[in-house]
Amino acid sequence: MTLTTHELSIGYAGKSGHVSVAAGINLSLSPGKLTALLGRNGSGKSTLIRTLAGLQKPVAGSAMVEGRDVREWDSQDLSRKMAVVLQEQLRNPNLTVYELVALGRTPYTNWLGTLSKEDNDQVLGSIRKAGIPELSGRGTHLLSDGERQKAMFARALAQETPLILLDEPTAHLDILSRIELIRILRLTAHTESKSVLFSTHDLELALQMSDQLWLFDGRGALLTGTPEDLVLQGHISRLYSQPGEWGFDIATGEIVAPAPSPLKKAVGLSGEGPEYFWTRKALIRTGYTIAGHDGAGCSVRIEKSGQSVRWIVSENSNEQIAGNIAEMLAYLETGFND
Amino acid sequence: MHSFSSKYLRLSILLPGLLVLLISDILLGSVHIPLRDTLSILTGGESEVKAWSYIIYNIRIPKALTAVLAGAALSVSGLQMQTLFRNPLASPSELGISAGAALGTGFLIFAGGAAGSIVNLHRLGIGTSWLLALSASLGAALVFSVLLVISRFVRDHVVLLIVGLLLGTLTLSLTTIWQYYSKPEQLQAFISWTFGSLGGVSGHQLTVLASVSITGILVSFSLSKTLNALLLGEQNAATLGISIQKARTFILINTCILTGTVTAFCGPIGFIGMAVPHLTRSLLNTSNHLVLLPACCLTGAMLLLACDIIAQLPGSGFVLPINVATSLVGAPIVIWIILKMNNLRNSF
Repeated sequence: MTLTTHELSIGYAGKSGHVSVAAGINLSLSPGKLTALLGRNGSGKSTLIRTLAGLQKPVAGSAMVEGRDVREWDSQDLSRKMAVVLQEQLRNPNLTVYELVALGRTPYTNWLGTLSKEDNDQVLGSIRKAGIPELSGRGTHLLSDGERQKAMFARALAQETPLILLDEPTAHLDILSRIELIRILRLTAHTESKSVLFSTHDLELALQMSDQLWLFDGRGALLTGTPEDLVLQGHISRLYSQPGEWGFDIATGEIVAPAPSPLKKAVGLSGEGPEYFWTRKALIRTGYTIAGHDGAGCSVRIEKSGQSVRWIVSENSNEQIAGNIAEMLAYLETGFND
Repeated sequence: MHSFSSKYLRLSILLPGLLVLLISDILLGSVHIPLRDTLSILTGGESEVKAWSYIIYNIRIPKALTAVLAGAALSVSGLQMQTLFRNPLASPSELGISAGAALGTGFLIFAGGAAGSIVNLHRLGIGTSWLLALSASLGAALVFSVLLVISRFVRDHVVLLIVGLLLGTLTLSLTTIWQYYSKPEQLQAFISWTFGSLGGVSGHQLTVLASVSITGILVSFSLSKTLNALLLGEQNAATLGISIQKARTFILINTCILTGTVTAFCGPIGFIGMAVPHLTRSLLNTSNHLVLLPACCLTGAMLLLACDIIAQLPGSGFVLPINVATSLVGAPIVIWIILKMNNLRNSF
């Protein structure tokens, strides 16, 4: 256990004493695991990361690296144990990716900060592991948000620490960059047995890709466990829902908006494969309920032959053939009373 | 680093430029001395007119050396401040640090002058020269400390600049109040000091200026690792094992001693501290302080030499105050920086 906390309360100094945002936190980060920190805005994700990094005083309790309070560590020794990527937008036209990553070697270089051959090898290796070898000479102001996050992660890798903390690395990233970045984080944790912690808003990706979840429950406590346990215990659906408006669907693992009301008629559905799955989604989205394929007066049958797919809509022995989902929905909507 | 040695190569191209400007600065002045005689005097030979030799050794060489030292010292101060505040508009003269040094100097002129000892700044003994440098540095440190506190609440570069300008005005008005209670000769000494002058820094003062500038510049080199880490912001630098409190203190002390000493002897010199780091960054296209610091020394020395040459109004026999020349050259550069702010806003 490299990082542990003991009865940790986090918060900030307010006008009238300390304001605690979460209390009684006891947790640990284990090597070789990717941990995602989830919570609504203002729940204390950044505060927790900054407190764990020793940048902020805890309100009570302590955060410990290798059993010693982070605030008692010599800052240079600590920087060889824990690398931190904060939410800071760096766009320096005179700083290349290589130079940025090289700053990660600061804890190891001599008093002038010059790089030895090993340092340079580490820098190149980190840039390669972060998947951006082609960007090494580019100015940091020319990077996309995703590339910048990878460069910042490479800098953390160059620090050669068993612990890496990242504060919302996926913010402002498009979905593909988010998946790519989290994939790299997971790979690092698994192949180099580092403990990697990242905070995020991305519930679905966190559930899919992290080994461990830390979840602020919105009442000042932090729940921990594997993603699936937290789902089955109902914590996720409780926290990620707005009753009557939208919510986490425990059956599919998605955030879903309920069907528009009033509900339309029940439709029987038969078919298989991805076509069945997406047809079902389309029907639910537009307000139909799904009945067994002969449990309703109205039914949709999906027929596949080779590449072509047909949707056969039948009601009262009338049949219409649709070539795509939009046509199928139109037939259901207008009915057969022409 | 692969691009590292090429940066130093480009840096060394500046050296002949510095030499040319240095010789031109010695060559030009209100008394015309032909190039051949100047060179022969510089190489230890004889000249036609005995006075020329005196002028070159006792006036022009000290003045040129002062320009080199002051230019380098102010530029290094400016670079340190820009990195510490992560603000492209930070510099000793614009953020009121020079005004603080002026307060310290004024304190010595008016308070010390009451005892009748320091009316002529240019005839100081070694002890009083150190005292003057110390007093100006303390004045600078006073303003810098206030600025450091305020900067925690100010995120916007331009707002910090305005706060600095106001602090400078506030400090200068304190000095002005003092002037009411001073004797005419003290007032004259102070006013002529505020115009700024590279001339007349010789003997003991040059010794003090040289030892402080060179020490301060060496200290700044030793801070380059810290300064590089600060490029990522204080919090990130802290996670890289840099002690922020120590970094702030060292940069504060070093900047104040450099600015304070230069200001004490040459008067408040504007724009060099802000403009030179930018010129250097765009010239060498780097943020690495191991390259930037020596480059700022060279560029700063060259720019102040150039300003001194302009101030001579070559061929006219008139001499402008050095502050006028640095404003003429520096203000357009600063305007250019502000126009480029859209790119700069995020670059610190």
